Amino acid sequence: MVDLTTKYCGLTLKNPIVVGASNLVTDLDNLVKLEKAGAAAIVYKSLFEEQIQLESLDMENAQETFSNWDAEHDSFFPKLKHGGPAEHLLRLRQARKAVSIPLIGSLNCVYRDTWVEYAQKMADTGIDALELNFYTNEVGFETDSAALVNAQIDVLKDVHRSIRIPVIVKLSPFYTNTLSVIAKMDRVGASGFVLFNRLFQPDIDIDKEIHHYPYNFSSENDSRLALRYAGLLYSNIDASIIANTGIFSGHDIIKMLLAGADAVQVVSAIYKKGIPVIESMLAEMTKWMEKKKYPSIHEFRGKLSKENMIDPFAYKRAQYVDILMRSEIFMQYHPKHGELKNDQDDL
Amino acid sequence: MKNTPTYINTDGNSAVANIAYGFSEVAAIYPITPSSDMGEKADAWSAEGRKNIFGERVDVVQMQSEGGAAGAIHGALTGGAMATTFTASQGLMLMVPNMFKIAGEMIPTVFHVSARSLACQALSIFGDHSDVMATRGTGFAMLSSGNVQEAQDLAVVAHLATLEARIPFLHFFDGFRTSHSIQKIVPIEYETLRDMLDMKYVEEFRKLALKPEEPMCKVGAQNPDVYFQGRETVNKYYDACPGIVKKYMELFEKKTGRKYKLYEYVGDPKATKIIISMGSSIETIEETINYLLKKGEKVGAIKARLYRPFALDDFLSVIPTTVKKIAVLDRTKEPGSLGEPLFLDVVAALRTRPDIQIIGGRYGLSSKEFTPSMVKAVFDHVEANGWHGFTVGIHDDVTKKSISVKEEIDTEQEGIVRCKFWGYGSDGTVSANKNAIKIIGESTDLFVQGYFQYDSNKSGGYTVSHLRFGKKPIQSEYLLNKVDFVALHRPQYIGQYDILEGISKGGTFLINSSQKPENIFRLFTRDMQETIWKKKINVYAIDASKIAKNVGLGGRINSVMQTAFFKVSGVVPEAEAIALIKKYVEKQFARKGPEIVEMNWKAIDVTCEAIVQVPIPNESEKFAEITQLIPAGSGDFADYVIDPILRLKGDTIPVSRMPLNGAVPTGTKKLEYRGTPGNAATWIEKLPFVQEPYIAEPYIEYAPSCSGCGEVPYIHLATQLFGDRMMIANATGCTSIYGGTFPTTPYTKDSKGKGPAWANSLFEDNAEFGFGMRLAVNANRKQLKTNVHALIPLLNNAPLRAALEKGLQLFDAVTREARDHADEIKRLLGEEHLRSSGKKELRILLDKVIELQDYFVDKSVWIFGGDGWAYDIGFGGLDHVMASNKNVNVLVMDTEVYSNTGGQASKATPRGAVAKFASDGKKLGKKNLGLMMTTYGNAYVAVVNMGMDREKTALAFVGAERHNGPSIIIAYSPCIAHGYDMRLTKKQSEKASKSGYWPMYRFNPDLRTEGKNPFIWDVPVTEDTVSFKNYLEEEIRYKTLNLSNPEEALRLEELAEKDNEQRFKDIKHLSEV
Repeated sequence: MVDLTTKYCGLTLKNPIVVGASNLVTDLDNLVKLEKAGAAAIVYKSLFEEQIQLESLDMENAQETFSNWDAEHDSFFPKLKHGGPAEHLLRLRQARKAVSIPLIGSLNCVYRDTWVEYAQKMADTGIDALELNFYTNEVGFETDSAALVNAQIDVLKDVHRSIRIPVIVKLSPFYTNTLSVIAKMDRVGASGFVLFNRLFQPDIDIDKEIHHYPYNFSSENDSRLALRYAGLLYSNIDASIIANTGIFSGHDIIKMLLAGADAVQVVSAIYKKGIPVIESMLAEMTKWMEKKKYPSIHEFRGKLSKENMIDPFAYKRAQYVDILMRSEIFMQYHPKHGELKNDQDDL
Repeated sequence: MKNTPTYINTDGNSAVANIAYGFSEVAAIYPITPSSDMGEKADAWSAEGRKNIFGERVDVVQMQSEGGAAGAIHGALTGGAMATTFTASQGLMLMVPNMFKIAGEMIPTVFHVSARSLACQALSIFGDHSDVMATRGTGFAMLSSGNVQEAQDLAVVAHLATLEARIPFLHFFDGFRTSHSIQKIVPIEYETLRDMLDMKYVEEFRKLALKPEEPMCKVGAQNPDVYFQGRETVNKYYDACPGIVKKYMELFEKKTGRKYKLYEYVGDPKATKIIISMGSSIETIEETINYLLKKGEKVGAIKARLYRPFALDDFLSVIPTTVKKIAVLDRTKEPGSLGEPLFLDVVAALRTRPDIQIIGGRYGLSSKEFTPSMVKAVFDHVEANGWHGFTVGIHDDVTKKSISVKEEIDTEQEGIVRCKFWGYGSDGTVSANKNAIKIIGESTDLFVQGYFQYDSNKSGGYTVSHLRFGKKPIQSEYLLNKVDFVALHRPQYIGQYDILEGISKGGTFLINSSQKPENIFRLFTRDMQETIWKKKINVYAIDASKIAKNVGLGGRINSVMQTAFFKVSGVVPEAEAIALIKKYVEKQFARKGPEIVEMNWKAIDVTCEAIVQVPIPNESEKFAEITQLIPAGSGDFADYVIDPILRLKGDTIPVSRMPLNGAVPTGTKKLEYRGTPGNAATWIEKLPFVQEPYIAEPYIEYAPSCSGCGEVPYIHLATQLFGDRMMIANATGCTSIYGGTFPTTPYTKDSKGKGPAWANSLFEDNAEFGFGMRLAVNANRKQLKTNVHALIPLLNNAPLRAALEKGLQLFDAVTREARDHADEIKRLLGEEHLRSSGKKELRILLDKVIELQDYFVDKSVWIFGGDGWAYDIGFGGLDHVMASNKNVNVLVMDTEVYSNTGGQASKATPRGAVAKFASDGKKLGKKNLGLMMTTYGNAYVAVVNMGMDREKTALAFVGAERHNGPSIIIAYSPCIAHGYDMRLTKKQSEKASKSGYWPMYRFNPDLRTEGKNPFIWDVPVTEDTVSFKNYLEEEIRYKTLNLSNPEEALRLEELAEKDNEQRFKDIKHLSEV
């Protein structure tokens, strides 16, 4: 029997499969089923401060619906304040009780002080670690990139100082130099990095000429970016490396581990294939490790990371270009088809 | 003395509640307009853990009635806790017995009363002193406040004085005019209250607490030998009381700089004529006096603050020696008296001064306007040696007691800006105006005043906001009659209301309109156009709905209209105004995220750009016609009473046009309304058990209830089944307000002129009231029967004789045959009456039978009310009536909350629902009234839900009516206070029953007599077809607790589910009997 245990931000997991934050986990029955299927840990659905803000605005409006209706009705409801994260915390406590595997909270706030306030409240629910979901969807042209990074680092520092459980950062790949940002965060106390956040990307319906918001599942090839960054980060940071996006099979997990990831997060695979997919992923991993005679993950993790590659160009841009240039499909559809073969700089 | 004062904007109720909370350990409360806000505030503060000046949270408890609240206060005081309550009107009346006791036992407390009219020929929720004056014999000290600042300050004085004086205090201020008026005042910190309170008196009070360690028997019975002497023991305390009040007024001045006197003289020190008055009128009187002094008049006034104990020396000392004539104004009426209370006291006080001529007059009943022009008219009346017992503010063309107001004067301070807004209930206009006052009051040096007028129809109607902004404190305690800025948020009002009434020269008129600017002027009536031309009014327009929609504010136009007001009203310079409003928005939405702030800022910018000045043509051929509100030819009552009331000109209706006893003809609501009359229950005709679909016409139409009201369908059903022989006793509440607010009623007649006869007594006594109606019907029928028996042998008229004999056979039937036969008897009696010239005895009996001829067919006596009445305040009476053997039918329209007074919890409120007085969710389960009523054994009980099953509901109504004894129907009634889209009431009602929350059943004792099981499930709750959660999550009353305190919501939800199970088990037990 092979050993699938892995380290995850200071926690020991029975295998590298972590169920990522999603609506899937809000149902307590699902949580239990996920644990039974073999999930090693679960990240609970993110607490979004913006959602609380909107909910509280809605609540105020709802309470105001019939206010100043007539002389006897200034209002119909007592003025209640929105409980902020109270409902989320309650659900989190219920989730904590429902499963015995590690449970990780996920948080996304707007204001620096609420990051800390909510983080402390979440930590108090008994979760094992907290994922800071640095999900920013920039729409303004004024915010300076350094300011943005510094703000995130400040939040990380504040949260890290204020709670005792491991703090994980889930971030987007869209920084000027993502590696530098990760390195900085690594130094101020991040226990792990989740690669990467999938950003809000509305689509457009050309018939109705409106935006629409399709359910944005990852697909199988989406794993490549995380694969590459796992390889780049391996052994260069103290924090754990967690790959997510596009992981649909045990083989995908193995690839991530080979690149250097400590664990993976899966969501879309479960949505598409159901909770039992976890069991089959584990079976595939076990089968591969048995075939390759790896007694434990430790034996092969990071084997194909930048650190361990003999080919110094493996993670360089040239490598990437080379792959592209050899692709027949690419050549077929490229507008400069036929002229391009010796003109790589054009790309 | 403090440095520059800081100000807050608040209303009278909030200011007073804050003080009462500070000084109290216990508050026992019960909702009644206009005092409910005080109890609600105290309850909310207690729920959020706020501390009083002793560092403790006040224990705020809601009772089943004001009588209960007073009893609880008496007990709390006896037990040694400082206790307070808040009430008004009938509520205060219910406290009277306990007030005598509390005062008799010399126990300190303060009752805060927002003074309101008493129910006489009709109830009125508005302000006057009828209620407080009716308690002047109780022994309570009575302290009166004239404005919001004073209400706060004298509340402090009352709480301090009561402890030292040992006399309980009633502190009162004018309902609505002070309780609901928003003004800028200097608040008092609890620290200052602590400073002023001598703990010695608290300790003395506590020492008197009843406890077994120092046992005593407190207050037993006394006999004729000693009761009188016992009564006289209190005298020295009453003698000392004014001095104590004065002492605390002086201490108060030392601590706050605000000076009050027991009786304060204002005006010329050498005045020859003065007015004496109390309450908010004294502000208006002072404002008028200041104006008249400038005109050289020698006038003055006494502001009476301490009414009981009446401090003779203090009172006499403030009357200038030059005074020759006094008019005493009372805001109450005591029919048959020689004068109203304050007048009588003044006469008694001045009994040694025959040189002074004193007359008394009445003003301001039910918040009737009392303006400077009326004050001037009173002075003119006094000067002209006018009559005593005058009235001012109305036109009494019957007994000619009213004085006329000949001269309109403008006494308001220089530079005052007066703004009037026409809006629609809940459209956001009033809340936007409250914001505007807040912003300006708190960010500038201006003083503010806001007063809000509403339509009384539940279906929503006009709102008129009256805002004043001045450089000095505002004393004008009356509606705006001169206006500098008018905003019309709802252009549909043009032609119905006098929109530009009182607008000043060069004033501003802002209209919300989607029309192009050049087309707007023609939308105005000719009167409005003339005013605009003559007074050179600047007219601005904005398409608020379009802007609100474009910037993402949905249908809420209030932010847009508020910005427009800030921009064009000139209250604050435009640039400063816009900056203020933006800053406020930022503060308001600070924690709602930057996007929300941005969105609102954008709305402000867009609004500023979109306001256009409306071009005023030199002439205009087009104009809007005055809207015809009631059909022509509807009669004098319609023309001279209904029409002016609908145009907000009801103040002009003379006494001669008013009915003596408040009664109005039925079938009148249709005069006011266009459109559909409502959903008649025509479907009942098809029901097999309704053997005689009596009438297809509905007996209630155009009910001005809230849209989607869950009560009205039951009234439709009951009246359509029994309307042509129905008498309704209606408890005060929503059903009585939309059922019987002057001048029209939705109850109507059929083509034969028959229909429900309706009356409202009070809130608490409705079961007894309806019971009394049944007794009367029985008495009249008994008398009829006796006389018919006596008449028959004397009759020669064979057909009449036969008809009467058959009439006696059918006496207990209510069938079509019986009713047709009763009509036939009437016809024959009429004929006999015309030709009969027989014996005297025959003649007398015939007349008697004719007098009682409407009683051949029995009446269907119905008792309508809500859950506040049936479960709480009226339960004692209901219990007694249900335990009787009299044939009455009770319909409880259970909205599970006090709907009419604004959504306070009742014992019908289910566990976990949020309501006022249950802001953290109702902690206990709903009372199982149905089950309780089955225990009498003789009562027919039905629990129904029209939205779930209307046929079974109808079956229950028919069964209840047929049962010859007391019957009760408890009806699930969706209400806007449940907080969901009222178009979905059917669906939600179904969920109520299918989730097991509202089982439907009937308990018919007649079946038991027949040896059958009296219990019938109509919707048996054998399994959940809808989850209880699914029912709960639709309604704001449950959802808000989930959002504010989810843990508690979950706990209560689990318990509520157990309540459902228990309720089912308890009822199921009955079915197995």
